[in-house]
Amino acid sequence: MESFRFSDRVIGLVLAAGAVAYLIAAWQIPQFALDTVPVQPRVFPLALGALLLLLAVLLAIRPAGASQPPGAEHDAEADGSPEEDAGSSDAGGQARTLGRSSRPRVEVLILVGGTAAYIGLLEPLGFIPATIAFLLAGSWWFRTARLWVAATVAVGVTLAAQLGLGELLGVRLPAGVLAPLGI
Amino acid sequence: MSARPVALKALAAVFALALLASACDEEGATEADAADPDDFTPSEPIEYIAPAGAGGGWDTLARTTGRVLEESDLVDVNFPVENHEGGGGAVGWAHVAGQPGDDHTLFMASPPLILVPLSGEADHDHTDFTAVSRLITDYMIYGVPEDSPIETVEELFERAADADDEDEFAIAGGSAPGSMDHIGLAGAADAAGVDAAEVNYVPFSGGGEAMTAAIGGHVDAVVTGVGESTSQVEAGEIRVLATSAPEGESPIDAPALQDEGIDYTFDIWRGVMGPPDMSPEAIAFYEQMYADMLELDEWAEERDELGWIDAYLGHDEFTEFLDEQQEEFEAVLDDLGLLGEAPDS
Amino acid sequence: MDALQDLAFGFTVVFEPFNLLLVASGVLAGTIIGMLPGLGPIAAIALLIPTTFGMDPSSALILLAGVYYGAVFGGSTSSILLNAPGIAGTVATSFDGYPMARSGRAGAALAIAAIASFIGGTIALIGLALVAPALASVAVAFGPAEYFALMVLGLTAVTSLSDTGLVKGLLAGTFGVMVSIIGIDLQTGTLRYTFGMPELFEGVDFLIVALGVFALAEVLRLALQPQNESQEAIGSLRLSRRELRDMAPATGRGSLVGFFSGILPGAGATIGSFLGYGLEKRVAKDADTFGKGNTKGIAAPESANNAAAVGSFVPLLTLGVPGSGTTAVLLGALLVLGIQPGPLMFADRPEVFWGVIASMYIGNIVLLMLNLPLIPLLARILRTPRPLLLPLIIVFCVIGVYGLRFNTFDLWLLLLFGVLGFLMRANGFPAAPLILGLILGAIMEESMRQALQISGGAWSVFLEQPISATLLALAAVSLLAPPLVARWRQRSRASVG
Repeated sequence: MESFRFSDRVIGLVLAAGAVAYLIAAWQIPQFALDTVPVQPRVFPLALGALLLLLAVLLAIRPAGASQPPGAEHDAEADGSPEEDAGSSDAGGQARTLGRSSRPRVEVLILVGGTAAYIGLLEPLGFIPATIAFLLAGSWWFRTARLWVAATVAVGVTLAAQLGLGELLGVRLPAGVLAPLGI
Repeated sequence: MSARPVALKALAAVFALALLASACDEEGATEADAADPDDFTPSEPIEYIAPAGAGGGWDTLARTTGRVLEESDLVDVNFPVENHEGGGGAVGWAHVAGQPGDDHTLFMASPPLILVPLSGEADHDHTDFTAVSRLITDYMIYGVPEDSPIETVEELFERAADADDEDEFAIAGGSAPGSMDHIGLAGAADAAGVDAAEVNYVPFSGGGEAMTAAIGGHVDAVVTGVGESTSQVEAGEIRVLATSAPEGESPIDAPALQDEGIDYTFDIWRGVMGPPDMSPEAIAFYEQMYADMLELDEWAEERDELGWIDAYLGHDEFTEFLDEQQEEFEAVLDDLGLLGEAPDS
Repeated sequence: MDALQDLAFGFTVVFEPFNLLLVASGVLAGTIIGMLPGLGPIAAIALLIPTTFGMDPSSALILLAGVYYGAVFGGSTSSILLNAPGIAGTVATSFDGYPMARSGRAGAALAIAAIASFIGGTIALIGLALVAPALASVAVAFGPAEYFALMVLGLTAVTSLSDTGLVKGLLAGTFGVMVSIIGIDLQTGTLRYTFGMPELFEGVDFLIVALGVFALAEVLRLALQPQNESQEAIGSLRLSRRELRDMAPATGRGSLVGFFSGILPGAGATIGSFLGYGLEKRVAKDADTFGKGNTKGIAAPESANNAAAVGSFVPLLTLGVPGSGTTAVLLGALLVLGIQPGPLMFADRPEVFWGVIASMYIGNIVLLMLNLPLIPLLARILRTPRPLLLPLIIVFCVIGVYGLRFNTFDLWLLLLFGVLGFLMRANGFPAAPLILGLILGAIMEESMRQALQISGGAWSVFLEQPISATLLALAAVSLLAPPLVARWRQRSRASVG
């Protein structure tokens, strides 16, 4: 995860910029017409924006040593999962990943992009085809040991979800291209 | 279509449909009179839309009518309820407006369909849809905690008008300013000769919360629906000074505003509407179907349990009623200064 | 003792074979529905209401009570196993439940959840049976000023949830509050930060954020870890005596905190579980192991959310006011069954009141009996090879969020919060304060403005009311103490790391 780690200074500055934008937007929230209202709708957002700005500046200007040591974000799991830490990419300098790319940034980009494609195709293509395709592509990318197992699970889970949610619970999942089949 | 930003898609759809809707709406309305209900029979399940989440008023209406209809022999298709939640109804309305001419889609409607667009927070208003039938109504109560010194509704408005910083007088309601409870209060205050903008209305996120605040003495009075207040009123926790029913028609043991000399009524009506440009035959069919449904014993049973009052109007009268409502609400909102920008005019 | 007789009568009704079958199937159905994110108790009850038509009211209530319990427990299951909270009330459970499951003790974590839920439910039911009518006055004593004070007190927990530094925790909390106020402002009807998108008018659903920053972010993180051939162990259900001993007081405290937040309309299980977790962490001697699989960190929120579920029946049954979305749906179901809950019900139809209590209790027991044997089966989910599990979790989240409103807009938000949660983690920002701010922020602002609206703008209102003044004082105390502890903790960690 260190490929995604930025210094507090950088984060603080980005957040400060965000806080300024938030404050500008807060200022544009219209005043309410009824004068019986003691607190206008923009007051609270203005206070929040100011707080965020203050904290962001604080983060940016404090000495680097004040932050937690690198790898601290891993603490939540570190104690609990010793078997993982042995091979953890965070511990060693060399990044390794689960998927087919060995570069963490590419790996995350692919995963986010793949999920985005899935979301985008969910309605036009329909729940069943989109989900099966996504599960298959996903497990292929993560170098599944036996692709046919993955394929069986993908089809099984998708149909079970469609049946259980769509038919039994009345949750209408998008039918997409299979709409003519009356799904 | 790929992963295009949804906002863009929605925007494009809304534009296209607004055009379509405004072009097609009027013809559909006038031809309905001539159509014969026998010329149309639904051929597939009805997309039965509650433009809100499960458990609310629209959802209850959809599930109740859907069930009564499915169990009756009035119609052979099913009415699976779909909750299109969001935007105080705007998301559901946009969805329905996106299916012009679809004779197998119906949605639940009530005053927010008029109020939300008036405050400029929806792209569609009632004129973008086809009115099918008004079904039921409910009224507002104007109540005080049982130990309140206030005895009449006139006194209530006097106190509300006289209040100042030293002597606060707060009236709770279950919705945001400019929406149902507030309009019911402001309209009545206006009719009682009080400047509605001076009344200290405190919005809560539901009628139940508003009543709890009144029972606990945190506010001085409460406005909410008769149906929502039944248990507190029957238990004597809330004393009803008046209801918004027409003269002599108050459904509970309290006078109507008109009985008390305040000439104002407010209907919390609920009805069923369809997408723009529904075929006249379909309108005639559904109109007849709902009229018949209201006659069923099964309906009467559920209606009474839920404390609803039948208030049927067919397509033409319902359309007219909606126009009147819009005019009336517009005037009240204008007085309050809460009128938003008009929806696509 | 009339009450006892009535209660005994309530139990005889529940013990009819048909009713027992109903409660068992209700619990099972509820557990499965609750496990799916997005489908919580509200959906589970709404979906099953039609099946109760034609049943007599007590059978219907028994079924629905079973569903309710099952759904709450099902939510904990996905929190613990997948870090994907099925319902809002179980987010806090994932803080320690998930790390514990990852460390090979999924079975034990689920068992703690089941047992703590059972105890929480039991304690709350005793409270409900004994003092419900008296508690009605507690519920109405909380006006806007008191809610504001309570939310402030709740928000002070941000300090104890900020393991990785106070500034970052506060930043995350502030951001959570910012997200919470998106949408139509209830006090004025004004749109705030909706950027013209109607999908945002009613705000960002809590579940979208929770699934994004927890489940999706976790998937991204796991994708950066090399394939691990050793499969996740489920571990035995057995708990050590020490764990049981540790758990007991945590469960007791969690139950009380949960029960009282359940009583307050609008507070409910989510806030109850967070308060329970925060309290436990504050009083614990081993606070630094919280968030890493501490059993008390599961027992407290789990007992709290179940106790709150029961507590939310107090305003429903005694005032006729639903205190949560779930009880609102239940209220609808009761009305259709011809039962009008409210102050009169207790006097007029005691058999219904006691019937509800008895059926909830049986639901609670059946839940425990049914789910303990199911745990090894459920925990097997973790055995799924990771190349398959990760895409499956994504699909799981997508279905859950899509099912909320049938809207792809929400899915984009989910992805956005997933990436955000991942970046937050990579940079040492804790996610819990974000969630806390999201839950409490909007209510805090709303009740603050309601109180000021009532008082005509006089801020003194918050200090004049005794309850609100007390709560604010408590908040001040809890703010002043922990920073010192946190600083000490940080220093000791720095020297270790």
